[in-house]
Amino acid sequence: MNFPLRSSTSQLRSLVWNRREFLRLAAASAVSTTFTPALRARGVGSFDRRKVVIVTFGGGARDEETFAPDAQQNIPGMIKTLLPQSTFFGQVVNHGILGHYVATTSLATGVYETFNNFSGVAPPHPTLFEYFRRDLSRPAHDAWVISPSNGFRNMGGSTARRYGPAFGAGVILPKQLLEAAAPGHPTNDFDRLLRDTYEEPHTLAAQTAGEAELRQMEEILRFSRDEFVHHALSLDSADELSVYVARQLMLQVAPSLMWITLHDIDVAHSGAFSLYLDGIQRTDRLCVEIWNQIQANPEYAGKTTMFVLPDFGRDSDGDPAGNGFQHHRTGDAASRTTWMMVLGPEIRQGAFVQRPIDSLDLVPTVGRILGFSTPLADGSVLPEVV
Amino acid sequence: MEPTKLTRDDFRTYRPLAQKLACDHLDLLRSLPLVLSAVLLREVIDFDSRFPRERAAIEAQFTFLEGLTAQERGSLTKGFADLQLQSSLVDEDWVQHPQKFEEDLSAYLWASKQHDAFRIVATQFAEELAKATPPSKPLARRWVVVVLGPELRNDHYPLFRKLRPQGVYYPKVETDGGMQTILASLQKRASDVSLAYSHWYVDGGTPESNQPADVSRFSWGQSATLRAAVLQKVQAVIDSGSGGPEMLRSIMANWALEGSKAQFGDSLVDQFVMSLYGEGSGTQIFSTTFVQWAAREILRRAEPVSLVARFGPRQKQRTMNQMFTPSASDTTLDFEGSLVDADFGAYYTWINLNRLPNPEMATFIAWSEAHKQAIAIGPGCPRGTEAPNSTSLSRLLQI
Repeated sequence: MNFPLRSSTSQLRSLVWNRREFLRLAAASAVSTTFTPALRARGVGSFDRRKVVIVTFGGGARDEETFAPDAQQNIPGMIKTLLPQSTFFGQVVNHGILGHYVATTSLATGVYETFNNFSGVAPPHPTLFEYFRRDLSRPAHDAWVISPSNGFRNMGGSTARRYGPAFGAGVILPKQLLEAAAPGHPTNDFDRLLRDTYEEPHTLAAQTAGEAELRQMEEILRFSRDEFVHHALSLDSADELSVYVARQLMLQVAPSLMWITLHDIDVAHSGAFSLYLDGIQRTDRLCVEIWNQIQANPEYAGKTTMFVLPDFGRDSDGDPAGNGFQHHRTGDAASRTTWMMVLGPEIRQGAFVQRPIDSLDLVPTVGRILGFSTPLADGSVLPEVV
Repeated sequence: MEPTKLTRDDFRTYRPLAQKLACDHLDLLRSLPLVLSAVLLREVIDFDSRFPRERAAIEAQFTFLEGLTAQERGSLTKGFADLQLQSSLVDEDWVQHPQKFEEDLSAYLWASKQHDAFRIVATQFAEELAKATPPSKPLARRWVVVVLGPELRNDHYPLFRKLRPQGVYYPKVETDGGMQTILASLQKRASDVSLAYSHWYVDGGTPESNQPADVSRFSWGQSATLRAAVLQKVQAVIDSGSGGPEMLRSIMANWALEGSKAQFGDSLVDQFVMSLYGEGSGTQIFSTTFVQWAAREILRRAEPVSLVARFGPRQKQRTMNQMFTPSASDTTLDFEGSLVDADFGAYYTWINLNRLPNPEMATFIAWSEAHKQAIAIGPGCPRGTEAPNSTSLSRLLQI
């Protein structure tokens, strides 16, 4: 614990300005419906018509490597494809613990959880999956979490009384699937797909893949082992494998509520800036790919809202207590402040929301969209979205 | 244990200098809030492996605090006293294991939502301390040279993008002697200002054979044995399947304190390198991270007047578990990625140089041997400019 030697109170203003300026620049180059209200009359409709896909990054990316004018080449997909179609929240503040599992789980419960980030325990507060399934009497196959990190295996359901795993989401860990599908395969073929985050290499040794994973693969995803392994060999990273699995889940099960966590960016903890940039560029491409899959799938097209948000930021270069992009340990404004894109048929396109919102606002907002209540969640419904 | 119960006997396991320091200031340690007392002991416990400037800074902290009246001290440290601690933290053996206490405290502050309060208190304390104990001017103008080694090449990457607004960009640099020229300049500076740990050379590969005298130095290549030992330690934790990152961090930090086998002919340098491997993140697997973190820590801890840091190629990315395996060969190198890492490492080195006293007088040069480009920042280097003609490396070094 180093004492910070210099505070950075102007960082927050700077972050917001950067994102607003970024949006202005992007808008100037966009030909489409920038700032044109695209709200349709909100149809009450049956629940079955509505779906939500949430994409979070485990390992934030800073403005300097994304939104800054000279860094936009790292996120061409977001700038050219997603941004013009989205309502963009430029200041999403995370007031919780800046560890990936506990923070992502907090996003899913709508409560800042305080358990040990590395414990992998189920959260004590109900997740949005439990609210969704319990309130709307939805079956187990209608809510899923896909995560490249084996440490996220308990994110789907809480230990809360009256809720719990019986109402939770199914959790798919694609790396575990791959290990179960190809137990004797030469490991070198899959190295790039089995990469762990720098902070949790220990998890692989402790866990083995088995029958449960094979059942998921064959009964839920309806992959043959050979087909899955063959396709996996053509992929470059664990996140790509996750998106491939998500596509298959959408085709086979078409869940109404799906959460995908991406972790490639978190290689930043190893201190290699080039690998961090690679992770940003890949994540950008994968977000567009997920959106395109939504548009190409008749079960999703025209009735799906997609949320894209990093779980939090990363340390600024100016805080001597940190080491810049490498970590998210200082708790400074850059590490706590991030952004969110929301896209969908009833979402205003090309809109920039400057006011600060809280990371916890996600759960009640998704609840309002899908029509379930979130009584134990903190945060507020975002009126810009619903 | 509350600080009021501290006795001289509690420090019997400390190394000699640390033990003396703690005992000399026992009354002060007893009077401080637990958090501050433990944070100070975190600095005291490895006092014996600190550089002279660090020792002076630690002693100055004690002198400053002891110079205050009880009321002034109480007012300055009230924020620390106001932090709500759970009993398990208070009961920890924070005297013998202040590092672990600090990690547990950090986790607890996050969990109990007191982290921001701690940041404010710590910042205020550090500012008061800085006002009362202003840093001394360096004995000579600081001079830092970052070298992007000859194998690091990436023709599609704009070099020194972050640094160019700060100084003069040289698109054509005649190599003329290269690394030997730089080390000769370092040697001359070491001869001119002879003070221990004021001149450093760190190399991310195999160091030049003709190394300057009176310069503290170490390298990625020559610390391979140490690296293997640390990776073995990491692997043991991974294999056990029971140790999370926090436990791993504590184990490594303790390992770094265990004492070292002679590697670089100077026990403080040896212990410093151990701390880079034990406390750094990614330093054990990527040579580029090793050099960047080493440069940062040298500047922060030793406050040198001269530093030459050369980046070499790092291994290609593999799974973390593979990279943490000491026996796994790491001969496949990523030259393009290493150049990007080194370029950003140069930027961070400049930032860290600017955190030292009198940064406006310092000279900073980053030079890519393969691309024959450089950036120079310092007095006489107009910001955001580009040199129209080619320049020799020797001339650059005279800035």
